[in-house]
Amino acid sequence: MSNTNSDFEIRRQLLQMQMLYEIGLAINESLDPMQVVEEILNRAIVMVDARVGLLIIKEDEESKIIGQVGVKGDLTAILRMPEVVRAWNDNQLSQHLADTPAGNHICVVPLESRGETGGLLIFVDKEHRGNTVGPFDEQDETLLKSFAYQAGASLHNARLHENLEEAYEKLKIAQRKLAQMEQLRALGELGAQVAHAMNHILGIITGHADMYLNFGRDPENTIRTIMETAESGQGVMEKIQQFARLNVGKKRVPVDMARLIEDSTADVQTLWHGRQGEKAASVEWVLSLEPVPETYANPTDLKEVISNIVLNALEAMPSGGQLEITCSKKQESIYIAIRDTGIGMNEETQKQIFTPFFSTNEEWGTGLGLAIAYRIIADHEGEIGVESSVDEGCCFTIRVPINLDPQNYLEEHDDAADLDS
Amino acid sequence: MMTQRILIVENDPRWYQMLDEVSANLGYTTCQAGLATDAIDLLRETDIALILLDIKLPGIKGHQLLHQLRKNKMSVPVIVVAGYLTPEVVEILIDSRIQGIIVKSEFRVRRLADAISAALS
Repeated sequence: MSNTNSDFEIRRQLLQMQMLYEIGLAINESLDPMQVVEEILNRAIVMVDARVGLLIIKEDEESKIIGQVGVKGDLTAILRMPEVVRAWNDNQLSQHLADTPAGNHICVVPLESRGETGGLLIFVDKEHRGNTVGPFDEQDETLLKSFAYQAGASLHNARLHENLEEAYEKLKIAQRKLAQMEQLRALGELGAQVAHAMNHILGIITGHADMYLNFGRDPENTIRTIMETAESGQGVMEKIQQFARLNVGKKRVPVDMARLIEDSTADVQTLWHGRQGEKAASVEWVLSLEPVPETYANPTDLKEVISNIVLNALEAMPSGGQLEITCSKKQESIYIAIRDTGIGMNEETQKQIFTPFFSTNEEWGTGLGLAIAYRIIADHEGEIGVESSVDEGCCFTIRVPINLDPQNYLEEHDDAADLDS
Repeated sequence: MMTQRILIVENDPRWYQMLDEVSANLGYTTCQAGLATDAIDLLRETDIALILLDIKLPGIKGHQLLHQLRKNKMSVPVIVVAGYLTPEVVEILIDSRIQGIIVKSEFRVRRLADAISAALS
């Protein structure tokens, strides 16, 4: 007899354990707090045959019902019941014949998580066979205690996850705002720099004209200076326009980078000799260009980058030197290095070299060349950097990832087809 | 009477040349510093009656030099000749007792001449 009883007891306990395990899995499946609450309540009232189940939490020191099953209507009165108020503090499961008009039986189960009461499960009236209701029994209490432990942890996790998602969302918004502010700041700075550059040029023009009027200085010299200065102003404006036009409606085509470097350097050599004439110092050119795969890129822009850096290198070697240009493929990128043996630059200059309107060359520089180069390389998802020390020359390195996306190439051909038709 | 010497702190050769030419025509001698540090050396070694000071210098900026001078109780008159003034720079200039500002885009011989003679009177 006692054997049968204990067998029965063991089987019952095993069933309960299995049920708890399954419930645990079910309520852990979701990370949406509302779904978790619903799952907890639905499982719990079935488990203990409760007529009504409620889940309440505290928000800003106020109790609030966040889930209810088995009943419709206003249940806020329950929140004020002394049993409920007490449960928040003593964190103990309690059963009472509550002071309601119908004299309901209630069972209050705290949901504990990390030593704190994270919420209360309240069950009203256990349904017995034959539609009668009564108090919950000891077994119910044991089950509910185990259940509350799991439910508390699941609810805690779900809310943590929700907070985390909210925090992520806020972070995203903050980052977007920061990026916009940074853009505005950069725009403001650019405006200030443009103003500076133009004021500078206008001042020299009006200054020379005014000196001619006041001091009767040599008219030819005056006019030549005015012309040269105005031309340098035109140069600045052209560069600004180019800066603004970058990445607007430009298509990418397959580019052979080694070939592009050869072409660019040839162009620069012509320009350099045209500018320097007989004065041009002797420069030893060392080109070591390994064959690299074609990459989808904008050849005009990339030529601009190479020409700019090569021209800077030549300017940095007023008494001649060696200019070495290398191109190779490493992993999925093309690496280009342009190294000169010129005057080099200090750390402060290196830091500012890619900033718009930073220029150390008063005669020819607009201070936009390397800023444009930086943007072009960034548009190609690559990187550009510089290493240098004073009197020891300078090395610019460029990395451009090999882009095999034929999308733009096809567009190019579509356009061509349109023109033919 | 010995001619008064104007220190032109300006790293752009075209602007230096202009300020030098106007100063010479007004009867002053000049010396040039392209860097704030050179300016400090010249102020120590030479008798300077007035500084024409650009703001956008490599390294130490013009307004920082000015701040330094005033901190060290050097009351030499200063006329700022600048291309563009940011609010921060204006703030420092206001606190630094300068004798005049010439905006480069509005540069006129007369304006500079008036500013110089007012500063030296």
